[in-house]
Amino acid sequence: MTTTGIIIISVLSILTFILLIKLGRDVFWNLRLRTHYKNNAMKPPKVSFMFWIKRSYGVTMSALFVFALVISNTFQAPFVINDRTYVNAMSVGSESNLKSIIDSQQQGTGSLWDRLFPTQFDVTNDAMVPGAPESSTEEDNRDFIGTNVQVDGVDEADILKTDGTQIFFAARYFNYVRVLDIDSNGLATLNREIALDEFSVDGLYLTDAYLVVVGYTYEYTPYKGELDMMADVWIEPFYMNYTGTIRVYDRTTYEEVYEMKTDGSFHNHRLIDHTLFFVSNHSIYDDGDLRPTYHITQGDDVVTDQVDYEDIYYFPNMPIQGMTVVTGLKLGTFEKTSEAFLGYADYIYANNNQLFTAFNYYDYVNDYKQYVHIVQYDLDSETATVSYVGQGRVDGGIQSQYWMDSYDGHFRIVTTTWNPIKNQLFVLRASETEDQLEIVGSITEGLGKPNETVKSVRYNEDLAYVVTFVNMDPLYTISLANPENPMIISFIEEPGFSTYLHVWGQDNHLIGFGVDEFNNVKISAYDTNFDEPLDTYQMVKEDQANRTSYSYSEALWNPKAILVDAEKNIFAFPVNAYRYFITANEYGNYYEYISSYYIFSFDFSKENPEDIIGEPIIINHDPLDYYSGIERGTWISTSTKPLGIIYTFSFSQMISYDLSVSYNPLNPTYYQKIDFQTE
Amino acid sequence: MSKIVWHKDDLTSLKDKLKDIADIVITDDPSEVPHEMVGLVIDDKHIPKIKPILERIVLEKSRIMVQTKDGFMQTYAKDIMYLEAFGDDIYMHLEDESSQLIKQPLYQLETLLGPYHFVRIGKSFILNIMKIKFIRSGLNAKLDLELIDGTRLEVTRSFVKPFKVALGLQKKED
Repeated sequence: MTTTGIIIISVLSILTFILLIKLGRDVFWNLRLRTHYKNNAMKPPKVSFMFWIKRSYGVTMSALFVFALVISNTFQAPFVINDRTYVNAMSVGSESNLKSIIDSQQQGTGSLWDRLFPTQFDVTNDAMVPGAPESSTEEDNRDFIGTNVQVDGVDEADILKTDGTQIFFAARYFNYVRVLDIDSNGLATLNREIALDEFSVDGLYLTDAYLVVVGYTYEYTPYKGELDMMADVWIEPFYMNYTGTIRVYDRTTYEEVYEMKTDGSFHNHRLIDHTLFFVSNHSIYDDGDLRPTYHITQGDDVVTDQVDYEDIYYFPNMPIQGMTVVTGLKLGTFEKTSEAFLGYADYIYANNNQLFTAFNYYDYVNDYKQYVHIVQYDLDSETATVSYVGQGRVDGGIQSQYWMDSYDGHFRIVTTTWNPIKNQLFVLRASETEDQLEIVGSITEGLGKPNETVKSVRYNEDLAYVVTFVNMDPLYTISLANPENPMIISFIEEPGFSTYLHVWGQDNHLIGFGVDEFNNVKISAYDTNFDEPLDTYQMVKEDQANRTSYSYSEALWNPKAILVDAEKNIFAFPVNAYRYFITANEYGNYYEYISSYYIFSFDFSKENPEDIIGEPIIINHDPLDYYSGIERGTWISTSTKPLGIIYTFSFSQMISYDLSVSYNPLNPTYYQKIDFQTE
Repeated sequence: MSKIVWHKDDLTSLKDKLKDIADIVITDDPSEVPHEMVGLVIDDKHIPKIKPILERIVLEKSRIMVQTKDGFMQTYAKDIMYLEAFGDDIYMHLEDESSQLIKQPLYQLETLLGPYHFVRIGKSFILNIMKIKFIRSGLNAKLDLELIDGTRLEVTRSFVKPFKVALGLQKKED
């Protein structure tokens, strides 16, 4: 509270106290007077009720005034933390204030639709778990390729993790983790399957000591109350309760050593060193305690913990659709810290010491424009602490974490607005004195041709690559060397568009992964000095007369499905294709489901650009159905297999390929094949 | 049982005031009470209740003699609102909103009116407590009194103590 506020409220409180004392004395004296009348057998003069109302008017009004000033936080002083004055974020402070803020904001901002159906989860979140850091063991010179993450050293969860000696794989839709040991010859053996029962896996993290499984526990809860009538129909109605859960397993015993259940759901998470930072959503539509709550099980100890009201912030004038909680959890000691704000997060970006949340919203109160609300936190992986730094907003909306980046103290973000269509790039910097992210540079015109929207973005230090699309794919290269004056320096056009860009070495080379003009998966090699791609490979190059084909890859929306390492010259991903055969025989037409894993290598030194993308090695799993398609692949090398082995995983199979064996496309020789027990 | 003998003229007033007491017997039998008198036979337990009523009747019937510039004047004590001094002049304010100039010192009047629920509330005021409608307490330990006719008088700080004694809030110091 400000000094002025303290003085005003103190004076008013003293006045209220004096008036209250005065009123009390009035009551006392007049009661005594009435007693005196009665003792002398006289009827006391009548004093009307209104008379007392008037007498208590002063004390009532001053008390109400003090109450209103305190509740409304009129004189709340800006927080000053680490020499930064909080002019945007305000601490909720108390339960009553929290409820009052939520009530008032929900009446004032945001559409009913937004309130009922808040923005859905980041579609890539289920694959975002930090990958294990690359390492090699002394004895047999192990090497491996970890999860394809946005920022080196900041691991993201995925359904496959390896450290070169073991592979942990959690197939989609099936609640267990398969653990495979890799021997010195690169041969895999199934060590065990960790059954997770009611725990649905979102992603895995791996450290030297622990396997961290992030996901949801769910339970069926029957409807009660007025819906009981439905129970008599034919099935008991129920709803599913999902609870964001983290389980930590000891890698030597495979015993669960720690479990944390939140009362919300996870947006996203990162593993930095040995600290897990996770961003979760907490509902504000419950009737009870609105503080985020953790239920922690460690051995026989069960602890319930809550985020303090002082650590919950809100931003006046921002729509409140939920509460976003940022938590740091130190693996090993399992110490944690949390901060929360009233608002939502659609995407997060994190590097080694910063975390940004981004929330797309429409300002229904003022201008009906779309904005991205950005909140910055500082991360300390040593102490597992998160500290709010500031917030800002920019025009437009984003659709991927890759549209954001932070480099050299500047936060960069590319946005698209749809009405009218406009693509923009903003460079922001955190104020040193206030909790404000200030726009220091931008490109507001010229990014994308008419009606083109942003499809993919990638940053590489001082460069940004932006793909926009409507009919053709322009790939813009933007120089951010001067943050206050970003400039488009070149662009490349090709049919189709890239959904993912990967910087390949340091010579302006890029690999683009996306779809061609026929929506089939394609891969392109670029040199940003030229105005067209150097080489492009389409997954379905040509169709035969009697069949049609369609190919699709999870990697189109989830970069973690891509196995990539420029130094090892590997770019691999799963592709699932349908081929529909038109036949003239009695069996009629049929389709075939093909699950393949494409392993590419590139040679930018080739004279003929069409030779840059080499012919891929293709690993096929047995065709079953969509749920058993190849989901992930990884690469491990040992001293006896220095070129490495590619391991591909589907729900039902593991097939590995020795890269030292020459590839025969007509009859590929697989190194090892394991059929998993699927029943 | 006790028998209280009272003047017959007050019978109507008495019946009205004693209507709440059920087991009371009123007699005017000449063999039991003197002429022009009535007897009230009541249980002893009613004595504390009936005592202030009888005292009140006595008080209401009490007249006092005060000296005016035109000679002595008789008035009911219950009709006096308050007395006010202006120098040597004392004004007696009555319930019928009339005033009388009294030729008598205030301290004599204080002594005279003391038994009739009058109290000194300032250097210049003597007040009939039974005419107070409401008491307001002030911030400076003074009391602001509103009388049944709307008149506002102040109990000055040094007279708050006797005022308390008069209301029974404090015992009189010997």
